[in-house]
Amino acid sequence: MNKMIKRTAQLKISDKFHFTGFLKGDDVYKMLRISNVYIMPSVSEPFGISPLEAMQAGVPVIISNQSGVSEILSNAIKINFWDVDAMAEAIYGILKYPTMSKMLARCGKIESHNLKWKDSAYKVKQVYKSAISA
Amino acid sequence: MRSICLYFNIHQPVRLKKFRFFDLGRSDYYYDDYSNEIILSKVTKNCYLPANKMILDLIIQHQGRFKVAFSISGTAIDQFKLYAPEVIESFRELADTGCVEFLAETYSHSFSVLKDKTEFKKQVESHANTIETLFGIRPTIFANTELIYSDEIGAVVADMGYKAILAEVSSHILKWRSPNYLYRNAINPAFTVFLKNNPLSDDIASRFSNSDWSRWPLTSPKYASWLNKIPKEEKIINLFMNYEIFGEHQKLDTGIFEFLESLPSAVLRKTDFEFRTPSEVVENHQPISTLHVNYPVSQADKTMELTPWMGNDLQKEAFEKLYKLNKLINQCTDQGILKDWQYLQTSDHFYYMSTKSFPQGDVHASLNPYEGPYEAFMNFMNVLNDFSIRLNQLVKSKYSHQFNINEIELAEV
Repeated sequence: MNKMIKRTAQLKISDKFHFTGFLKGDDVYKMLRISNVYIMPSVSEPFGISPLEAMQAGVPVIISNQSGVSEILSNAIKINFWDVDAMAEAIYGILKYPTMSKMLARCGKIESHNLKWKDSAYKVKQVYKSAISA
Repeated sequence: MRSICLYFNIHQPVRLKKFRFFDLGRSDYYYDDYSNEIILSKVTKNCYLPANKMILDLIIQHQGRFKVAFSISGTAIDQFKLYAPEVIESFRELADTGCVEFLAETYSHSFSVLKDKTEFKKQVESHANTIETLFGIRPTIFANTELIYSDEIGAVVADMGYKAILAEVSSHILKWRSPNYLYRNAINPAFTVFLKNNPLSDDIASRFSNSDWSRWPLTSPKYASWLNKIPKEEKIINLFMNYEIFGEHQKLDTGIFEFLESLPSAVLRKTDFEFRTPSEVVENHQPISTLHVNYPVSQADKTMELTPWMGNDLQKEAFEKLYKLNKLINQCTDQGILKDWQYLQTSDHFYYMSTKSFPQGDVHASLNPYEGPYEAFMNFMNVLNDFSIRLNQLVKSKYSHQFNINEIELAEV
């Protein structure tokens, strides 16, 4: 975090950034409500719940391909963590093309609501059943 | 004598390169030449050349009793000229047999008929000119992009002097009607409509290699037996497919080429069907009644609507913004801009933005260069933005010495 703060200062763009620090509880949703786009640029992420929180809040998301959640989401823009041009491109696209950002927000919200633990549990159960019967 | 009309569409889009917003105003070349060449070379090797050779051999073997029809999109022709001119030569050999008919379509395999009839007519004229130049015969029968049809589309094509159109209409519109007859267009009764026989066409195009299909494996004797079960009063079977099923979508090891090789013999020996070109079908059969199709319908989707291309907000937005530029295009004579205008209209760009699952057996899906529909939309819109900027600048500079600049309505994407 400190390295990023220093970098924004070096580039003289620190007035364009807010480093909020760790957010929890209602602060997360307050932040999402005033956001136009949420980005999870993880180098490596086993799953990543935060994009789902953003999608539930109706915020278009950009996620790293190197995350578990990217395997199950359709209504998200996916980029490789190292491809900063693609990341900038995706942010530009969401801000420039309101039709796309509205569709990402609308479809993303529906998609996140349709993700249920009982569906995942069912699939795991089916895998066990087929392994037992094999 | 009953007729089988075998029609294949050959199409490759000129795919866009990755065009970032950083590139806006810096690059006026939009195409991924590397990918387009690689893909075209692959499909040429796997499909176009071996399939053309097989069809030529079958025409010779059956002494003129095996006939087919093709339509080749202008974008495919442009790329054949660049990367695989031998494919055009092989189509010329087929044209010289007299057993092959080439149909007209829109040059850029576009949906222009839905938005701008003048643009549509220009594209069809351009395509027909190209086909006549390449193969020596001007097309008299038309196949719209993805066989989209409506009464109005048929009437526009009829006005251009064509005799007939190939179409695909869903069963919920046909209702009790069979596709195995010719029909009259509802606005111009002298204009004939061919309807694709969906089940029999898709048995080959989509289901051929699907081992879960109840009727797999498909052999030509089996297929001929199905043809024999068609009621005798139904005189025409229209089998309309993408050519790329041979060797590309249905791979070589599925046996699709062996099926094609044995199909003419099976049909000619075991059924009362003859292979006829669409023009021959029009000469030999009469339309049975008038077909009413009030709104445009298409293939490639079980719902048989335009949802694969126009079903979501991204596609509709991109389509609207593209054709908003047509007023300015009409004021532009720059050849580079006009070529880009053609290539940007290709239907595939919108197909890549689809959020529907690609239907089984869809050829477009296998060659989709994008990660997903949002990426496809962003890339297309970035290109369109740059194109719009160039177009605006050209029209402004052309007219600025004549008019007050504020009088010109500049289209913004």
